[in-house]
Amino acid sequence: MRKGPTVFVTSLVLVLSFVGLGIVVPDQLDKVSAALHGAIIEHFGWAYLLAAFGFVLFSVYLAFSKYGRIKLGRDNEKPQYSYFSWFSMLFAAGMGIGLIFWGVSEPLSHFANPPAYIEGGSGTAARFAMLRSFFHWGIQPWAIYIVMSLSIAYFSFRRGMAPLISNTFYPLLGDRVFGGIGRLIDVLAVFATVFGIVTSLGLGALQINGGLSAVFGLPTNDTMTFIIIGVVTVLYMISSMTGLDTGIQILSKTNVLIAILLLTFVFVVGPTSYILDVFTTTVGEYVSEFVNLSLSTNPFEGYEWTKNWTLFYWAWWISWSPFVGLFVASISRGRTIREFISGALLVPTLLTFLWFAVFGATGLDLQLNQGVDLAASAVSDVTTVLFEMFSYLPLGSVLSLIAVLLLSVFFVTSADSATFVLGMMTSNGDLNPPMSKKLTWGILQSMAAVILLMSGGLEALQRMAIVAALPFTVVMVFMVLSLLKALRYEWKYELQGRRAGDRR
Amino acid sequence: MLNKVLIPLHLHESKERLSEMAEFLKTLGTEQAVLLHVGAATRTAGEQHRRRLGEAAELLQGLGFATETAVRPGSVQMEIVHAAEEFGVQYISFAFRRKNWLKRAIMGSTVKDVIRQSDVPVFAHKGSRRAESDKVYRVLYPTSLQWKGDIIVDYIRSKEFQPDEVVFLHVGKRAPDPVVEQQRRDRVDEQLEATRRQCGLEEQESRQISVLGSARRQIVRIARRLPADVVLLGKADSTSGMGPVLGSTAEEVSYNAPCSVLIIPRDLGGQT
Repeated sequence: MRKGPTVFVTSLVLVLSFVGLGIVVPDQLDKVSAALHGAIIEHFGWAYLLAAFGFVLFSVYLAFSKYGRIKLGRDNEKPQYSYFSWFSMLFAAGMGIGLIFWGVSEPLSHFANPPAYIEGGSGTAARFAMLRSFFHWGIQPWAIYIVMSLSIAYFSFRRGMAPLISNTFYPLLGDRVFGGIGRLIDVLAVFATVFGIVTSLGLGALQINGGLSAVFGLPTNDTMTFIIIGVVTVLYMISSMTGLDTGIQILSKTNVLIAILLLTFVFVVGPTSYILDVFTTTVGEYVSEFVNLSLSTNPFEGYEWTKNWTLFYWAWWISWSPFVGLFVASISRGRTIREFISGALLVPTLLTFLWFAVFGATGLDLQLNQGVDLAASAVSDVTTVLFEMFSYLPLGSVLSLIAVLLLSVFFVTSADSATFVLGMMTSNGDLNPPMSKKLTWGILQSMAAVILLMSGGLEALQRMAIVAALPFTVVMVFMVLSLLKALRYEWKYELQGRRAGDRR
Repeated sequence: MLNKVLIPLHLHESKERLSEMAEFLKTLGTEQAVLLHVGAATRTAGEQHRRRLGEAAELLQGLGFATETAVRPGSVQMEIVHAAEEFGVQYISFAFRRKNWLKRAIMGSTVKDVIRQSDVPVFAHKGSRRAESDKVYRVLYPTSLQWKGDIIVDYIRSKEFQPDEVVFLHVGKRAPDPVVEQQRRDRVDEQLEATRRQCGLEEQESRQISVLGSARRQIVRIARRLPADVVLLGKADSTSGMGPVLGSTAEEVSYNAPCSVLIIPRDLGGQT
């Protein structure tokens, strides 16, 4: 059943209105978004923690349950992409540019500014910094993505419905998913996706500018940033036109190969044994403190810190989830639920841990053992700290150049995937969305990033994305119930019946 | 089929309620009644119990029942279940009295406990409209459509029941997608129709309702909306999921339904 152009038109009008507000009254938008964002993080932080932990438990349960054998597609269907392509696209869509952005700066930032009960710059602060960086980028974000993508993949590839977030609620809402409630859910998803991607593009462009400045001495100003966004827009529009099977897949594989190359190089030329020490120790602490980390908002001390970092991240991952969820779903056809969950939960997490261990530990080694005050740079300008760290390593300029390349390719891949997903969401879940829709969203997201960087409304938009995360958390909790209901039905009334028939 | 009944009495039962229930039981074809009281085994109390049971027995005899009486010490629900077996009754009938939630939470419900443990049908009588001739006598039969050769069909076909209208109700789960959901609905309609024919009913004597949701809630809701006079409900011993915590559908419906409920253990019929 089709929903017509309502979702496209409504979300376009809504997004344009918000971007318009960001241009015309950036201060007011800033105030309103700050007030909303502040209130949500202040009062619903616990809900984010509980929901994210619940999603982890749900994912693990599904992977080990009898439902793990159910295929995201027809019973005899084979996976559409190879493991390497699949992992590459998973990683590029889920983390990508953010990981490059925060790989060094997050551990150093926590090290310099931990919660009040830890002394900044101490060994305890370093331990805390690594553990929290692992935690923020570890299992939880992927569990959030899994809930979304698994639901979409199941209902579209297994049950033959259009890949739309609203359709995952069929077992709960029935035909109402084709009416107002369904449209509202889809518009909310478009809203969160656009705002998330615009923010990410804006921040990514700033970091590429920082890198170009470090490598080539180019100026760091608005004009440069706009040129970067312009070039990247042309690139991702070209990639987006070629579709999922060529453009995004090739870019994602290139990304991961460059990322592994960079990671290996820094691991070898950096403080190798120190990195391994940090990796082993932090993985151990992460495993042993997982439940405590997952459920602690630190209400007695350090709540401000938790609000600014952990709760912000959780809301951010949730607001990102419609985009990543739809994208990951679209590349996961033919895998079993067990394979999907274990792959999406473990492989990207492991790669993320390695990334943080290598880059974070190298930064901390420079800070603690070599007397280089990188932490001050991380606090003052998060966009350039990676390049500053490279300047202390052999072949620093080459590394910076590779990092700029990596950032650019990740940038293109994220925008490319977002364009594809937005096109899909606003074309009734068409896996080959029309060119016009992709063009509209591609140009709109880049223009919004430019305009909001100029007007200073980018942060406000990021906050709005996080505001959208609260209703989406509720949506995702119901999505879990809906998926469970559908799986139970299939197991009880379809699979068991079929098995009994086979036995006879 | 429902010739001999065990009626547990707590001796504070009003004569009116007992008499109303007994009259209804007669319309089900019941001719013999065993009156049972489970209470303290002291001599004084025993005398008192026997005297009260004697009065109740006289009342029932006046309505044409052949009666027996018994007083037992011990656990109420266990003794009721044992007595049902010992006296060879075809069912157990309670003059149902609703407890408030606090009392129920602390003290539990004898009816629910007996339903869980009994191997014979249990009837929870909540007043009767059958005597009022101007109204339709309506039986609600909720079916999961998972049982073949269902014993409940035999009850509906029996000459004693003779309802004016039987409402076949199926409470299902929505299928995960619209295509399968449509197939499920069509299948349910077909099966309800087949059940109607199996019961030997004409179309005008029956209605079929198929709804989605929780069986325990929907049965009570539909029974109230119709309104139904009796709910005929099968009970399966095996429960899954939250069953052991929440209680079976039969236990919940017997407690919450606005009308009388006859719970029939599936073991009496054949499961295939």
